Amino acid sequence: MAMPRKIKEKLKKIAQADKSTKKTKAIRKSSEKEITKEVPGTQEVIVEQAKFSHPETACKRGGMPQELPVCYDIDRIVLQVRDPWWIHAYWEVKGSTMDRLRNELKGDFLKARRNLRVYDVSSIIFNGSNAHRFFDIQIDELAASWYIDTQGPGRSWCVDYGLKLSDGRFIVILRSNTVHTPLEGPSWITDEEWMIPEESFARLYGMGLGLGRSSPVGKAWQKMVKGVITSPGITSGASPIRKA
Amino acid sequence: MHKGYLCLVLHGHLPFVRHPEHEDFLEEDWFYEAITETYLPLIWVYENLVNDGIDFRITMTLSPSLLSMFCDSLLQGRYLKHINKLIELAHKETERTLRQPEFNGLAKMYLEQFYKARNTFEKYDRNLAFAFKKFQDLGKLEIITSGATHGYFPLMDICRESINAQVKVAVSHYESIFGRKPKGIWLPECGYLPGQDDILKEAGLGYFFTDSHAVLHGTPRPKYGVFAPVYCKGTGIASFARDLESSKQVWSSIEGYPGDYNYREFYRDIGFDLEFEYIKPYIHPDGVRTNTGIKYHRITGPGNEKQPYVPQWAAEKCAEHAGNFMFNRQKQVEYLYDFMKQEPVIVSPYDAELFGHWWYEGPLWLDFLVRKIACDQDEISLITASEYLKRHPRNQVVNLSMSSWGWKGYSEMWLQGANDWIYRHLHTASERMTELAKTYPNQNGLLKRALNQALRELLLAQSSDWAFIMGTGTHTSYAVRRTKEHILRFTRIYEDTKTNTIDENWLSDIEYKDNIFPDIDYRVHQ
Repeated sequence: MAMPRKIKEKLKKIAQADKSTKKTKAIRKSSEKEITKEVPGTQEVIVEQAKFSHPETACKRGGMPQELPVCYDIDRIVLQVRDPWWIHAYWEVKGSTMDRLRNELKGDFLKARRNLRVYDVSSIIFNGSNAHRFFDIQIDELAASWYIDTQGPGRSWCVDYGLKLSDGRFIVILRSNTVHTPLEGPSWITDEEWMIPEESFARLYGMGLGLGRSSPVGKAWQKMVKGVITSPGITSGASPIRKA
Repeated sequence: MHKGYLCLVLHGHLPFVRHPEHEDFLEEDWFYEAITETYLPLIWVYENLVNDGIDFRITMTLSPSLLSMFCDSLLQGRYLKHINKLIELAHKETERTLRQPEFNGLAKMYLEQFYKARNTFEKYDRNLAFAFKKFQDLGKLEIITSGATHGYFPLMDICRESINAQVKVAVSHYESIFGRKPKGIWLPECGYLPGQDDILKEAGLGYFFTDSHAVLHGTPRPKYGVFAPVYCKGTGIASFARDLESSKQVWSSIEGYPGDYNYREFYRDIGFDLEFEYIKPYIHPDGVRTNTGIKYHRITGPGNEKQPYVPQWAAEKCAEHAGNFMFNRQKQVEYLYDFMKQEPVIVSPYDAELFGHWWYEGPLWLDFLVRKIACDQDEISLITASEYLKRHPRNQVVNLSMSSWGWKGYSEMWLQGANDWIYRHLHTASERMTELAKTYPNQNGLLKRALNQALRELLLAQSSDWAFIMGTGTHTSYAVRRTKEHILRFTRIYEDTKTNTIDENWLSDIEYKDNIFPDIDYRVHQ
């Protein structure tokens, strides 16, 4: 069975979209490759997709329901993990919160830029000022979600949404939950009771991934996914809520 | 000499597609096709094995939404109508192809298969859950559960009450059908996020399955890789990780068995191939061409030219491929046994619909494989996860890594530009459901009905299938519609509850339409 053309095109399209949005994201210096047949999960997509194979007519019957609200009038930012490198944030700020800031900051408010501050909060209880490091992403005023390249697998992250004033001050409006990105390869921590020599683990690692018995530790998985999995996400850019 | 185990897992799931508001609803065909092409053929495999005295162990997920459809009398009646139409079409096909011997034999094969499908369906009182239960009660199948509506847990972590509801509803639904609690769970899409296993433990579940990198990238390093389960730190729930070598042999349409040129071609169906006027009564009443399940061609090669299907050749290939799979597992197990100094377990999970629906010969392959394992060798034996744990209770404790078996191995299939808009709505609805459950801890009458329906609507909106379909970019309007519809229904109940303005007629209508989990208790959402 050949891979359905539609799925091939879709996967290619996603890969291309990833590339085209690269300049809008925090820069990650890694080589990108085209999606290949080795990308984990591709076959699962094809088989699962085959469950839903029929022409699209459902919406002729009964039409689309009414639209969902654009927002819920709450102050909130939610962080979720996409993969070892990328996290996703969506947020909403109440009109009254913005009004309050407008009144407090007066002229500064108009010159302020919307900003995401991404904190590395690994292994600490974050109090707003004890992060290991942070970086800022300037975002569009209308954006309501963002894919963030953390460049940090195996770390914990927290994000503030706020205003960056012209004098460099950062006014926090929303603080997110904390998330943890998974490791991109095997752990370096071993268990005394369940010790295994490096070479033996390498063999098991390669075998578990279906790559034979001599894969170097850590490289096998990265070899399978590198370039694809490190690709930038599709930014929500200036669209407040992405419509399907 | 016995050297290891093979744990075959078939994951059976479909989203809840039931549309009483229309006589013919295309998306219900997903369910009818799955019955004819996957679930009945699997039942036939199990029946034949039992009748021939072949011992076997297969683990099977029957997701709560799939089970709910098996048990639904409206869908049962509609399936009967569906299979009767197929029988009628197959009769016509045996006439039409009289002068085409290469197709006529196939038409007769389908006719026989459809009659058999109807007979088996009737034999189990139109409820296939009874059939699977029978094999579980015989000790051959171990049926596990999944998320109530297959919600993708890693993207629900912000509202763990919803994960709790997905798990608790699934467990009690399972119990009501199978008469006992499930021993394990298939995490929807194998989606695992550290820290969520305490919810599974609380629900009394003993194990779950993950993709290989959940364990291989776990901390500390797993001594036996994916070839022994590990226990989650803190909860002690066992995790069995997929072996990708055995997986690829069956999953892959490129390197795997299903792509063999002798096997039946999935994408050639008479619903699309034959003259419109002839096929019209058997496709959708709107005149939209659909798959009928009658397919006459073999894969043949990479091009578009397809030759007639020859069942005999396909069966011979199936036997060869079953032998090859077993041989590879024997070699794998022999190597691992020497290496590990203990019996490895090879975990091979597949989407159930890969067998029969996608890979037509899959059930036959499974039949051959089980027989060969039982009769032709003694190095490997089939085992279920719970049996393995009984025999090998001492396993390493590991913090697993976040992972899924989806595209690229993490959450991107369900979190990308095409579907990320859903989460603010789903999470808001979850928070509101928690609020409702806290505000109304003990309700009766109309309010209780409304609160129970609110949870049904929320669960239905959470099905991972909608985000998946949006992510693939095809047939998205149905997925978008379902997501919006359930969230809107939930929102109306939420608002009406707060203002004490519940419209009983409207509530009755959506109770009738979205009738999943009749015994649901909204208080599990906490």
